Amino acid sequence: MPSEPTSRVALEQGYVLIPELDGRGPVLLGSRSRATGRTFFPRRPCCPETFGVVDDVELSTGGQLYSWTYIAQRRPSGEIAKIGVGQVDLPEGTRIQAPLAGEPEEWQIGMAVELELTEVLDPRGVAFRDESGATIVTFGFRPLAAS
Amino acid sequence: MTDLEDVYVVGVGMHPIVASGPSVQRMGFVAGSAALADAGLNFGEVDCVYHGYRPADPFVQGTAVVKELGLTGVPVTQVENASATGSAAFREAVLAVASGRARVALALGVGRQGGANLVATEGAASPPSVEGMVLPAAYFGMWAVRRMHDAGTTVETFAAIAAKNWNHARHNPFARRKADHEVTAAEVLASRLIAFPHTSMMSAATGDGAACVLVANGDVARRLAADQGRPLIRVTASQLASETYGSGHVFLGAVVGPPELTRTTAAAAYEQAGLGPEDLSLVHVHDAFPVEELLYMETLGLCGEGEADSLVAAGATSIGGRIPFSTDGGLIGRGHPVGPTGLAQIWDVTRQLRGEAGVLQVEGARVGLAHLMGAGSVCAVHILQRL
Repeated sequence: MPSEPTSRVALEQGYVLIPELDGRGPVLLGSRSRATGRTFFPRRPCCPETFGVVDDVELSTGGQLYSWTYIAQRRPSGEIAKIGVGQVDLPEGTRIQAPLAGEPEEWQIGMAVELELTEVLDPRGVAFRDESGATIVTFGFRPLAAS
Repeated sequence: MTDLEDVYVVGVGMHPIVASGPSVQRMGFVAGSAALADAGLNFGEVDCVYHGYRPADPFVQGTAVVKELGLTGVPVTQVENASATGSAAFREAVLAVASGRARVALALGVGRQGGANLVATEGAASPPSVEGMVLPAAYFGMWAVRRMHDAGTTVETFAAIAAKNWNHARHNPFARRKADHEVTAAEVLASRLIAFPHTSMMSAATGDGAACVLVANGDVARRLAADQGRPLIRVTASQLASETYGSGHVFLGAVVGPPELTRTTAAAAYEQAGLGPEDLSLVHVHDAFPVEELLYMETLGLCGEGEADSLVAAGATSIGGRIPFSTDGGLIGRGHPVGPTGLAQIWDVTRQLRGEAGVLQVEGARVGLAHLMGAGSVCAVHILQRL
């Protein structure tokens, strides 16, 4: 396994654009209902309310923190890591649950947060990589003030 | 919506919920034969079986458990509905009797979790799915943090609810957690943090176990009640609903459902039963974490929005209070082995309505409600009434 990751790959395709692969990003990939105009994440095969057609849409890259928590994860060293998780309301009304960067002291309900790519860690805190050594990432958020 | 005419619970049985139990077949046999003995029936009188087991295992279907109880040719159907698996098996048994397809239906739930932890401690060989990035414990943590923000709920209130459930479980012979002393809120708060603000003692207990309920029509139930000198326990409502789209809906990892789902499912159950929240003597809910007791008190219509905290602080949900919750310890105290959980609720409600709950007895219990969520996306509500 190489010590220096050469690039990043998505945990699963179809959720978020990654600059190295898509030329831009991060951007969340959602769906918009033609009938109601409401947007959904992740992509839907049809509108959940009208069962009608949805179009692919790129969602806002920032929003407001609706709630947060952290998982207390014991590392092999005995240290307790605080693994942040947030629910974020995008301006278009879509709520996203995802990892939240930063420390509990700075998280405030209602605060502005922005989309980022976050490494996927195992319970020891080691980042997962694919066979080529690329770091596996997924979508997450961080407080805007901390960027 | 049609009324449930003449459907009764005639027998209940359990295998204790323990850290590590015997085989699924053995636990199912213990609970099943206990329910049959309780009813005064033999397995040959059972017209259909609904077996709920989770995690799904292709080799441990209902047929494997029925081999232990007897080979009678009875139709067996495997049922799975996440945390509401046992509730779904019970509902199928109720509907089989209500439709006239069965005189006696048996609902059995078995759970075997092999010491599952809420938060992994070992290195994982492969990354999670996108859906698995956010652990269930985190959803409940976020629900609790938002509740604290909206209603001013304190961690002390969460701890008091958990302590109450631990203390109810002390007197339940089948409970997973049996403390040797009166548990205090301070002790609950001091236990290991799982997902802020929830500690390990505020979290549902995993475990192995089984629960069984026998449902029968009026002819059978009246005969058995007369034989045994027992009251009739009628099933007056059975409702199961899945989520509808609403504000703040989350598609990815909807482990915690929108509270609206409980409100609408309970309203349908009240209408079916011809009863209201004011008629309830005791309540069971999906209380994997204490924030759920507060939310469901409000969405079941037992108090107004934001009012549950003060009622809980005044002891309303303890035995002897206005509306006791989780009289057998709930998911935190009795435990949440998943397959049996919904049927363990019916076990407790039935014993309460019969007046057989001993030191846990709710005085004059007439009506009990049992609620469970499954993966946050389905809601089951049953109402039982002593006639």
